[in-house]
Amino acid sequence: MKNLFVSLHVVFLLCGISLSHCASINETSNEEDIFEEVLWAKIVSMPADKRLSVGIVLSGGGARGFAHTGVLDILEKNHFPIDMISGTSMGAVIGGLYASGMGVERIWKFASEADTKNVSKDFKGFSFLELLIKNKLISPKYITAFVNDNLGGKKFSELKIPFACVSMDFCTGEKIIFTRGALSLAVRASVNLPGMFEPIKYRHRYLVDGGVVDFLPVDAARHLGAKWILSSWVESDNNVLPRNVFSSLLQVIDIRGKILAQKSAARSDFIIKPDVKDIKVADFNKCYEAGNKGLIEAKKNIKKAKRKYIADSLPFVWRFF
Amino acid sequence: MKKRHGIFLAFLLLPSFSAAFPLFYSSRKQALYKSKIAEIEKNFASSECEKVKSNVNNYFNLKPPSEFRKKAYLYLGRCYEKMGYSDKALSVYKIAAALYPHEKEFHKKLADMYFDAGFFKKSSEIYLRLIQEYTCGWEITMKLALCYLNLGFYKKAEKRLSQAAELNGYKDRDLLKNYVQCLINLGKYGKALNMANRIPPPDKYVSLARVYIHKGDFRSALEEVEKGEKQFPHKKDLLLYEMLLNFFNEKYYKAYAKAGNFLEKYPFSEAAMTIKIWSGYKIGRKREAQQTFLLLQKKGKGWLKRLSERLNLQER
Repeated sequence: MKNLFVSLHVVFLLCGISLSHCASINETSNEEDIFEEVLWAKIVSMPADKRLSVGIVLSGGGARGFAHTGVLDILEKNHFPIDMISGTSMGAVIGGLYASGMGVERIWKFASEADTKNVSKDFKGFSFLELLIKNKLISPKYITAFVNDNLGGKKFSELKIPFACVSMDFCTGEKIIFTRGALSLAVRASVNLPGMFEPIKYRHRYLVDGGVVDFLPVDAARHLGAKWILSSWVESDNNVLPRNVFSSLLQVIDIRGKILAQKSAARSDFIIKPDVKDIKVADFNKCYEAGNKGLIEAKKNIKKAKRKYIADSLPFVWRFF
Repeated sequence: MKKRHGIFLAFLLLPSFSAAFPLFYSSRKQALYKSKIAEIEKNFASSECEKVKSNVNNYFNLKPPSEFRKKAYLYLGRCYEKMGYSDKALSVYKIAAALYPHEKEFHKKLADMYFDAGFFKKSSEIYLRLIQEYTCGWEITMKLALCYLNLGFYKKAEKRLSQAAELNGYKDRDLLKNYVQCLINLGKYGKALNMANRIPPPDKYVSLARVYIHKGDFRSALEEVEKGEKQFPHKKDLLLYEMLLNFFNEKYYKAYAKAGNFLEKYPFSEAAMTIKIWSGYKIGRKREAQQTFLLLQKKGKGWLKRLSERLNLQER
């Protein structure tokens, strides 16, 4: 009888401890959320020189790259500081538009208009036929018009946010990081597919897509002075065997990009990888879908990103509290 | 003669019996189905979910017509929910929603299950369809808004929250709090303050403070929580915000004292331990701060413990 009494007592005690443990876990997470909220607001309200400056890095990826629009949307809505931006290829287009002061809402419109604006025509039909028949690299008129219409006449020095984009010297293989001069030329050079589009002549160099040397330009963001890097990396799916010359060329560029990005990603402080593997480089009719996928993935990760930034910033900002 | 009359009468009445028999038989079957359902309902009301499960299986073995299966699916699904078998409940509602595409209840249950499991895209599609096809109350509109909020579609969320708030007459506390959150995300601070003012106290003061915090106006945020704390001195959220806002308004002595008071009520509070450590270092109470740091290292489990480790204040 005594043993039964003791056993029951122990059972009740253990139940009580486990219940209070469950209650305390819930209370802890609510406390953490409140603490995070206030501390976050305090840190991001500080000027960039009093906290870790944040560089947003946008990878290449063609139509997949429109996922960066969704990522930027979530960062903005969660008041994530964006102190500088770097981009390659489509990342340079989206990054350049955002850095010029264009609102995310306007960039979303491009995502839904990309197909009607015929951007994909540079990758298809008569353009491609010209490439095969004349054995001559083509000048992509639709992409050029798109970039010039929206970024033409602007200079890097006029941008609202410091920006860098990357291209490659086709003759020497050097990585060229643009941080000054004419914006549209720099962005156009960054989104200039080798093997299809004519290299762009700039001074003594012939420039092609930066994705061949730096798919995820973390170095470019550091070059601008970023102390903390958030990368948006749109990876491809290379499990499908290409069926033609054009697809083979794009696949090679994608594979090369993936290898380069893996090295850059290791130097990022936080990575967001939108799930856009099923969208191909030239699938410009799926830009809006890519944007939505970027938004959803960024939303899933925003809390982790904030906490990582807070934790990394704290030793730095402590003296200003 | 009488015998012949009887046989003749029986032959005359036979067709009527034949016609009446199916009606008699089907009304007996209906009565049987109804009694089985009543038994299932009774089991469900007494939370005898295992009995509900077995009775539903037996009931289905009777092969009742479609019309009589609906309630059985509902009770089975609800039982699985009660027992914590979300995946089984989801399967039941999926089957039921497919079998009864015009039954709003199954689609709503399915959407709710997807929502609770975090499948906001799937649940948003169903809620949207429900709103488009039926007259729905503010709760479903709010659920749709929450899906959008969780997915990051803030503008869509704002539209639905606005609709839900109007339908609800701006009464539901949680609805208004979510609306304030959405407006904060969109940077619409003026509107957020207006909406926060509609929330009944004490949550009103917390919401107002949150808007000011996100605006970067920590002083006004502190004023709001202090107003709230005077009226509701035991509201935990208010006390937490007050402690934090005193620290970030550089009122370190007050923050230290508030943290101490909080720990008396909630001795395992990692937030209070953290503020006591940080404010202790700021006001020169290093020894007490270090003691609290060691306590946090020993008792803490979460992010705040790791945050304090990152600061490494012991070496500062």
